[in-house]
Amino acid sequence: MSESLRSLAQLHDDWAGPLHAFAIRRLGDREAAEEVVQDTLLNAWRHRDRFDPARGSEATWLFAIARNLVIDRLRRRRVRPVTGASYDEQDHHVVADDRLEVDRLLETWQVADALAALGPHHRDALVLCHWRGHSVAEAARMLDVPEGTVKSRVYYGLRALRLQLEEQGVLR
Amino acid sequence: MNDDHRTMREALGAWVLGSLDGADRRAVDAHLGECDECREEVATLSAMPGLLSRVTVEEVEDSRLVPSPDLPMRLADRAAASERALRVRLARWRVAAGAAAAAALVAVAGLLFVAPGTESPPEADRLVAPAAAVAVDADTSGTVSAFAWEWGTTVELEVQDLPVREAYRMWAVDTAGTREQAGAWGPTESRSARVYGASSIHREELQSVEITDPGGAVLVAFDFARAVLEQGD
Repeated sequence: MSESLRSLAQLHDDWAGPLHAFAIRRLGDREAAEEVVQDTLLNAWRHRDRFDPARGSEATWLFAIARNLVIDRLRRRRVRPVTGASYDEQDHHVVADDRLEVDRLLETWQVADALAALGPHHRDALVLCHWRGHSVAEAARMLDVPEGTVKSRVYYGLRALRLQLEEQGVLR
Repeated sequence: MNDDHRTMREALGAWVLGSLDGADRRAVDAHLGECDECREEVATLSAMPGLLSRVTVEEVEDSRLVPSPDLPMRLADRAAASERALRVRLARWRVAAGAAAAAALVAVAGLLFVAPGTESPPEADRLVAPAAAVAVDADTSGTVSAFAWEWGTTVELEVQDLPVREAYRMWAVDTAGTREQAGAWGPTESRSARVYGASSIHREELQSVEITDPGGAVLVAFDFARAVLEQGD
């Protein structure tokens, strides 16, 4: 049923981010990833009559298209993916059909999107304390601010992320 | 103490991330033992480290997982361009396919061998018929130009404001009322179309060109009795 697949603008708003996250993790460069996103959305939109919700969700369909476009590009380049989960062409269809994999990608993108929306002070404090594994005392020295400031940036940064992720239904 | 509670509360983020050491951590541990509110806050923050770790530090630092802000604009441009390209491709294909079909017909009939192509017809003048809307909901405007060939006629349709249907067919009708399909296409968002078609009906015998829906109901007719001959250059 073609009604189940919406306009190009709606497809873009709901899926451009997750598709981009998916593509850039496998291709490593922004330009190639964004081309894959555009090709995927245009392809799905042009062939919306072929979309059959009985055979899988809109998301599954879109990611299956994106996956094939990524594979084409990787073959053309003859290199392995640069970052992200280990990738095996043999099992791509298994992953493409896996609803959990798509959900996970969507969540990952929502986390990345929430982080991008965070102010730089809060984000830098989280980068040092969470990803770089520094203590509050070390982070305070590196940022040249009092320890209390680092604590408060980490706390309010996490709360802002939590709020946005709750609004998007990632957290309940 | 209120100040102490506030200080402890603001340290909960770092506590959840495991970034407190020594006395700081022990102070929060002790506070959590006696403050329900802070224990609850810790519970709601406890999912955060796992979620953060979905994203790598490089991905956070350059916001790499988030597409560029101009992506929607570029996508819209490409959608518009591809629609145009699709129309042109379809039109070229119709000329080739229509002409080839007409040529095959003529060859089978054992008549003169013709080799139609996309080059100009022998008489480069065009016979232009205006649209006369037929369907109730049609306020269609446009023209059909007919070019005479040895094997029949090519028609070039240009219409605006087609009534919305799931598909369209173009027919050539001769003076005896015989109909030949000369083209088919799908709906466009703009409701306009430029379609090239071909028919084995000779131009002198062409009575009208009609656009119908797939069921055959006539949407628009172009009457060649009212057509105007325009000299080619």
